[in-house]
Amino acid sequence: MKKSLLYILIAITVLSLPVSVKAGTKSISSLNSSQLYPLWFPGTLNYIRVTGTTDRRTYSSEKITYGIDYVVLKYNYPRFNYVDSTELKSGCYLVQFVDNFNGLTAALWFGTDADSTMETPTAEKPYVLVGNTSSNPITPEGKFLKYSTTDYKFLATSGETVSAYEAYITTNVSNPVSQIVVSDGGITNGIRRIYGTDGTRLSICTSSGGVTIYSAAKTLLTIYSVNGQTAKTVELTEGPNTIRLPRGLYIADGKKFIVK
Amino acid sequence: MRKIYFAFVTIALFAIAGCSQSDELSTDGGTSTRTIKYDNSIIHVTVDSIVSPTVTLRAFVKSEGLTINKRGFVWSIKNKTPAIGGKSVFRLLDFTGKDTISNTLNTTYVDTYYYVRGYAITNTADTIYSDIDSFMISSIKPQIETMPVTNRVRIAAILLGRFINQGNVTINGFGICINRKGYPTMSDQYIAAIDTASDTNYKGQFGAFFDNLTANTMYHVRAYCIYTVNNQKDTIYANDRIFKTTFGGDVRWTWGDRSGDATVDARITQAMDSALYYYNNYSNLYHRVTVNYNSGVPTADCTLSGWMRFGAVATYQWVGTAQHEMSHAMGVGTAWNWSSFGDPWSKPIATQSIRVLLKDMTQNIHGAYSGQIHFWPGGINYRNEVENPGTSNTKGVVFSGVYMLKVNAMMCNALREDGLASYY
Repeated sequence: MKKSLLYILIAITVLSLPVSVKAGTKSISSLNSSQLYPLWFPGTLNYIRVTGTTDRRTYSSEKITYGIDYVVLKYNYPRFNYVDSTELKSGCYLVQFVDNFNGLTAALWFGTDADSTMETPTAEKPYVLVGNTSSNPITPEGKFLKYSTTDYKFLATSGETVSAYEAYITTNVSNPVSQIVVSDGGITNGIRRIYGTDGTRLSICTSSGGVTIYSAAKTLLTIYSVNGQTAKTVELTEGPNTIRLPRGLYIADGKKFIVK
Repeated sequence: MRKIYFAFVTIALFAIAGCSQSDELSTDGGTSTRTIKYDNSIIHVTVDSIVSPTVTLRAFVKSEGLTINKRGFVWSIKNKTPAIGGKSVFRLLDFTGKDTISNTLNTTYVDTYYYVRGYAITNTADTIYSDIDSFMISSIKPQIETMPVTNRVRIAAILLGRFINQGNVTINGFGICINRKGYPTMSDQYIAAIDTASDTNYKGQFGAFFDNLTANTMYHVRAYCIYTVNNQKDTIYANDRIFKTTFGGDVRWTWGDRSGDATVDARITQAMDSALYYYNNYSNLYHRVTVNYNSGVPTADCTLSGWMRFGAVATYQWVGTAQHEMSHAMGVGTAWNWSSFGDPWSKPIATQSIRVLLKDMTQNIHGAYSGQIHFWPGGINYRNEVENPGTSNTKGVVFSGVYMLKVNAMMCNALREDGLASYY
């Protein structure tokens, strides 16, 4: 009886993304393959069905295949990683569809093993992906980052509503970054690549008495001593940043460097 | 002393032709705020405007009581007090006695301070320097985007990227990389793009043709760009998109009227089977074609419904002709809306495709107008588009053989993706 009530509540939910929710399913009309769909899964994602015609082939509520037709990302601060199809338990994810399905309608079918426990930000993980587990829109407290369906990235905001089952990034940082781009950044030739707390691309060059860090945007970076203690948390501005450090071995974003 | 000055200036004058910005990079830090030191008793310099990479300098000369023969600017990125000669670069200007002089400086380095001074040389060969102004142009990194994959077939795809902003750094190369696990880099499969479009509609787009992919398989794709800032190379990647290769086309053919000559029939059969290979692997199109031999047909022809006829000339009983005629069955020159697309073709998918396939971002599709029933390039309207010599782009690069057969099928797929009507 309680489950039925829950399903009725789910059924009346409306998302501002073109996503509607009914008992055990989420429906996304007119898929936009350029965007990601940040969602709280109210159960294990069992399968997705699509309807429409693409590449001269018509899909009529046809099951599609993970890894061929769509993939799912999880936010493992500071990066977004693709997850395995066996990991799609109740939780917060980003769903990405192949370009082939642009304009089609999708229905996501979930199990009933809902887990509404949300991760909370910590000093080591100040940004986490959480979701609205309510069947009604909510307004998160303070500043948070909401996925923009026009800019295709998370943008800092406050006072905005988050739709039912929509996922967003919450933080314990008083002055959070203005945006978080879903990318693992890139590689570099000649410079060591690391990432800021929000995933901003950084390159690090050691020098006598410290390091010079080139940052692609304003961001934070925590530098640890080799024994794991925080040596310094620095606020980086876009461009070169010179940071003084005593001689020693340090770690930033999992990469070791030596200051002589 | 004056003679020494004169000799110094003369040497500098001879040196000017060879002047280049050979200064070593300044390692001085600081902020990007311009600093101005006022000492304008005789000459005062100011940085008038900065429109990267060009900087306009201005100097005001107070020439009362002096006879000034020459005026100019001197700058350095190493010497904070630039002077004529040494590692500084200078430029002589007018001799007309103006009190205000102006000139532009084309900067080479970003994130680097430039120090500038005005100078005046008197009739007594004294050189008077102004106060010093300085400026720095911050580097702007390129921004790129991976574009939607709209022309994907069974074993190939046209993959595109574009520059949102080319920045003010030196761009060394750009292209597309793919893999199957996500976030592809240049360590995976990548193809460098040839150029960017120069026309208004497609400015900044680039792309690559990826062939020999696996059917019905998801691929991750990202555009990349390699650039250099102050002699240091870096690579950036755009957003990760995903697309899947398709199940391919479903084009089949059957015999209508045979020739009665086993050699001729075998030649036509080979031509049709080969054409179907390309249409089923390099397009997603569907059709049922009936093939006939008719000695009264000068070359070959085909209707939208798929009624195809080969004539008696053996030269035309060939895969290229079969593909050309197949394109009519797919709507080229036969669909009700053929002429509505215009010349050049007005829709993006076919336009982008031909540009990438012929590695020339200035290419356009022609032929979609009333009275014309063929398209080019890529339409295999003549055998020499495929064989001897093949098809050339505007840069003189030649494409021929099997590649042009793939181009034809990919282009028919693109024309249909753009909305060309079909028989079914």
